[in-house]
Amino acid sequence: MYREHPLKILKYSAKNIWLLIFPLIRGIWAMNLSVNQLYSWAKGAWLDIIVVLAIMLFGFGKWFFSRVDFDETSLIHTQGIIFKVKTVIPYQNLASVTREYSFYLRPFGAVRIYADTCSGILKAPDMKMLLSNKVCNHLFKKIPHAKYDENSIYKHKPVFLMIFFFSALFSSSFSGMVYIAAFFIQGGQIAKDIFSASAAPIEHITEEAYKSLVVNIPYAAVLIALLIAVTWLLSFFTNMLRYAGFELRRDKHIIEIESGSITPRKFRINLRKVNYIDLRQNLIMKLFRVMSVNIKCSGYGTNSRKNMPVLMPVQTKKQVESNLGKVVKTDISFSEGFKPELKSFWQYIWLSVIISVGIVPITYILGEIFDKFRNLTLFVAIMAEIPSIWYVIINLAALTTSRIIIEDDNIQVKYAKGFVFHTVIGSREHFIKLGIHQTPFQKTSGICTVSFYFHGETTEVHSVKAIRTSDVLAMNNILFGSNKKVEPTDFS
Amino acid sequence: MKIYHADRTALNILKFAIVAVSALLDVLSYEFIPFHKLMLFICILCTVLGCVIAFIYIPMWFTQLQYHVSPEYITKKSGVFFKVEQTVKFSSIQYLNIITSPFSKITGLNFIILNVYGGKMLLLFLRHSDSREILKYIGDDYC
Repeated sequence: MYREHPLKILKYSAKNIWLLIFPLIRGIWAMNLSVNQLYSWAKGAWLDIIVVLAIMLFGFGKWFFSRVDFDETSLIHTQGIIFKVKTVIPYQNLASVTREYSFYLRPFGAVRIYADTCSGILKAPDMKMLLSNKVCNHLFKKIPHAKYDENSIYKHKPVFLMIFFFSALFSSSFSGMVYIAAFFIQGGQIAKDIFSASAAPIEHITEEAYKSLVVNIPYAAVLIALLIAVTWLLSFFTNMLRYAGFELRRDKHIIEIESGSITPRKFRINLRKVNYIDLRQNLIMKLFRVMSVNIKCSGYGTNSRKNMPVLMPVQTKKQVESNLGKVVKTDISFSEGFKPELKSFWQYIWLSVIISVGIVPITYILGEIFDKFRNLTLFVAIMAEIPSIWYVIINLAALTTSRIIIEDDNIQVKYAKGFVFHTVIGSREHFIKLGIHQTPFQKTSGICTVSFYFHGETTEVHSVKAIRTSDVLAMNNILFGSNKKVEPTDFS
Repeated sequence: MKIYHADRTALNILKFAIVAVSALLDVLSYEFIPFHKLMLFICILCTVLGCVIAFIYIPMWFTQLQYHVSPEYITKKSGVFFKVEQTVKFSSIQYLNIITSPFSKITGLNFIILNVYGGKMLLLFLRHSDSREILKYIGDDYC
């Protein structure tokens, strides 16, 4: 029997303890150190002190009664003072185990452990613990583990340049904004003060940039552009720190991944529990024939605050062809398969075309209503038009590259979702459902939308539009071995 | 196939808890609501609701609650107005949460949560001996 790391007492103590601790420190700081003053302070603040002690005692009690056991077959975590909650996970059901060495926990020799199985409807880990390094090492001796060095079947350590490209390609201003929002929510007033202090130089830079511009771009537009650039850079640096030192090792049944510099994380993934492989590309990557190899496995990249579910950050098509089988025992197929009907290109581009065309009248109307901001609306319209046209191009590329390949034990679905191209490769063992949908417009052309569903904690749909109905029937026969006629879901 | 029922001691504890809560609400309304008619209405409402839940609905729900256990799967039958039947194969269970209360051997406040692919099943108000037996059915890993 083991206990969690004593630091967990703070976690178990109520969050609001800080509200009482800071006035306490301030009170001690403000007074002169004398016995009389201390007595008079304690006389006034006795209730606060008792509350703080009670909260700490409660946290200590929760920690004391929280126990971790590893027997021959299972990982057991018992929690609770009055009602005991015992969580039992057999090692064979573990999909992934993550060790997180946060920079502020390392000096205390503490490590966070996340254990995940294929069950659950939320993305939260099934078991979360804060252990000492010693207990963590005991645990990892018990669970199946990857062998090192010469015993590894495959090793992959991308060079720094690859991590740089990967971070650049998968960074977005949106992620940067999310970090800032999280900083504000969690940091409260202190975060706001820090941001106000750091916003002043940004404003100064904006003013300077605005003065030096030859073209007449509105001040607000320059500020927006700078804000986007700053948040993108923030996202980029976060990704760089997160994927620095990325290394993958594969044993017979386990994949072990290490990454991160400030907060190193080590993932152990059970190969049998990998639901499918997802090769991701954006349009630029597609043009240069490079891709990022991702996997879908509970606990790896499923929590939004942790890593992306990346297996090999940036790989050329040739590298993927030769290495994919070594990492995940699955090969990529290049056969023709079932392709979308090219005549039905409108199925792919209608939304993006409407958006890109619709921007023009909206800009004109807004310009008429808010005459003062005409220049700004024009700038925003141009900025919005660029991704809209980009989206049209992506959808046209998706029309020509999307396909479904069913070969032996593997199902391969190539499609585009948003701005990203996906090639999903899953085994029949993990395939659970085939969805066939047909709108009235599709019915007249004799085409359908085909959706594939694989095992996973959350439902993720992999859809290919404009597939011929006859092809869908053939697909159904291959997958389910029946000659039964399939009627698509009619939404008319 | 073995059939397990919810523990009747747990039913009595629940009845007592519900009656106590409704009595507490009555006292609070009597003390803090200044309008006599409103206070009377809330008191009657709390008492009637407490009695209906404690002496009609909960006993009916307990009677309907059954667990049919075979070596391969478990079926839970429940529901008063709408009958619900849920079956889980033991082989699909990924992990368990076993919840016990103080004096669980006599109170019947033993719960097991079966976490399976895509969802979970709650086994509620089990006798201590029944929960041990069900765990043995599920597998040696969980005993």
